[in-house]
Amino acid sequence: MNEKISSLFDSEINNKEVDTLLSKKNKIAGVRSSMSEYQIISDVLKKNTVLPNNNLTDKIMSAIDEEPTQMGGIIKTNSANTAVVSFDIWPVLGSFAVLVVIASTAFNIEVNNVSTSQFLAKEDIPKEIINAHHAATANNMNYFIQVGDSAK
Amino acid sequence: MTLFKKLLTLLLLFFSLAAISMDDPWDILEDSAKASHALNYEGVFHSQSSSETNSTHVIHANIDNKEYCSLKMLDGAPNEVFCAGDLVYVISQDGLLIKKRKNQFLFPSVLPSDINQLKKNYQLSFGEKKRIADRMAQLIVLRAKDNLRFNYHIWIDEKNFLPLKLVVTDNKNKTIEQSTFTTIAFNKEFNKEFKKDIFEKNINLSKLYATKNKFVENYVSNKFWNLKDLPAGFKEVDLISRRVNGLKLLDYQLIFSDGLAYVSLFIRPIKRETEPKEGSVTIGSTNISAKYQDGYQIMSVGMVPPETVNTFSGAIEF
Repeated sequence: MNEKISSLFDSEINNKEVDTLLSKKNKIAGVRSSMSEYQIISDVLKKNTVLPNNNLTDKIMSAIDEEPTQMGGIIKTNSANTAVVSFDIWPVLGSFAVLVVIASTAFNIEVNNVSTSQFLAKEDIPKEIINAHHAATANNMNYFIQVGDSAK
Repeated sequence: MTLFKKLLTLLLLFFSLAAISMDDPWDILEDSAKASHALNYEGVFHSQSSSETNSTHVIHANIDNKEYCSLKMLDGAPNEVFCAGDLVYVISQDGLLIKKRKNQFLFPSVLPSDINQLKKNYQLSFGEKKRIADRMAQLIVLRAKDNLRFNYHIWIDEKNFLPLKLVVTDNKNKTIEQSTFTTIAFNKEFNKEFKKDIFEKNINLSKLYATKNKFVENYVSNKFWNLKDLPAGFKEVDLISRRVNGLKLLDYQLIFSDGLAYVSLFIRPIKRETEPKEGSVTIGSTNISAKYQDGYQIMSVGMVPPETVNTFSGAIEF
C-alpha cells in the first residue's frame, strides 16, 4: 500500500488507481496518515510547497480538506485509576517533532501565537459571534428572525 | 377538648396554610410554564430592547400534543416564522431557512419546564396585579440572589396563567429588555384545518429538507479544555462546533444556562494576521468579554451582567 501511495505522490499512477486509493482512505486504518506523510516528503524533496498542477494531488488534498480537524491539548485527569506507562523519552520526543512538522505543513495551520493582545472595541466583535449566540439562545423572536436572515 | 389541644390544632392549621401560600408563587410559575405550551391563542406582542422595538402577530396552537406557531413581523421586513414541534421555518425575501429549536425559549414561552432549577438562583415574590391586553395579570418577580444574573418580572394571566408581559431589569432596576401583549384572544379553536390553512400553503411539512450549512458540526469528540470556577448556578446545556472559514480547524460554542439567562462561550483559533483582543464591551442588552489564551480567542456573550461574562471568559483552561 505504501508503495502505491509513494507512486501517487511521484505522479506515477493513473487516475483509476487514484480513485481506488482514495476509496481506501477512509476504509483502511493508516492510509490517510501515510498519505499526509508522503505528501510532506514529496514537497520537501521537491523544495516546493506548491502542489504540482497535475490534478492528482489536488484531488487528494481536496478530499483531506473535506475532513474537519480537531486540534487539542492533553486532557488533564486526576483519576486514581489512570494507568502509568513507562517509556524512553527520546523516541517520543522525536515522534512529536515529526508530528509538529507534519501537522504545521500538511494542515497549513495559521494560528496566531503572539503574546500581546489589543483592547477589545465594539467593532472588533465578529457579527457571526452575536448571531450564533442569538441563533442558539434567543428568547425574543425578533432576534431569531434577524439571525435567520443573516445566517443564510 | 382542652384549651391546649384547641391551640395546638389552630397552630397546625396556621402553619399548613402558611406553607401553601409560600409555595404558591412557584406553583403559579410551574402552571405558567405549562400554559405557554398547552394553550391556543392569537394576539400581537410588542418587544423592546435598548436598540429597537418591534411588533409581532402570533398564533399558537397545540394540536394532538404537538405545538404549532405562526409569527409575522409587523414592522420592517415582512418576515414570517412557523414552528412545528422542534422545527422552526423562517420565511423571508431570501427564501426559506429551517432550524432545529433547542435552547430558544421564545416569548411567551420563556420559562423552563423544570422550575426547580430556578429556586437556587432566584428569589420569588408577588407584585401588583395590573391590566395587560385587556386581561388581569399577576406580577411575579424573580429577583436574582447574586450579582451574576438579571431580574425577571413576569405578568401572568390570572385565569389561564399565560405570561402576558416580561420585563428584564438589571441590579439598578433599569429595564434591559421587555415584551408585552397588546391584544390577545383565547377563544379561537384550532384544529387540523388550521394546520392546513396556516402551514401547508407555505411549507410542505411532510417534505424532508437537507441543510446547506456545511460549516456546522454537531459532534465534538475531543474536548481539549477544562472549565474552572464557572459562575454559580450556570450549567452547560449545549455544545456546537463549526468549521472556521479560511482555516482547517473547528471553533466551539459552549452554551450555559441557569434556566432563564443564557451565555455562549466561544473558543476560536486565531488567524495569523489577526490580533487577539482582550476586554469587555456592551452592545444593546448583551455583554461581551474577550480573553486570549494559547492561540485561541475566548469570547463570552450573554444578556447577563459584565462580571458574569468576564468570569466565563476566564474559566477556560487548556
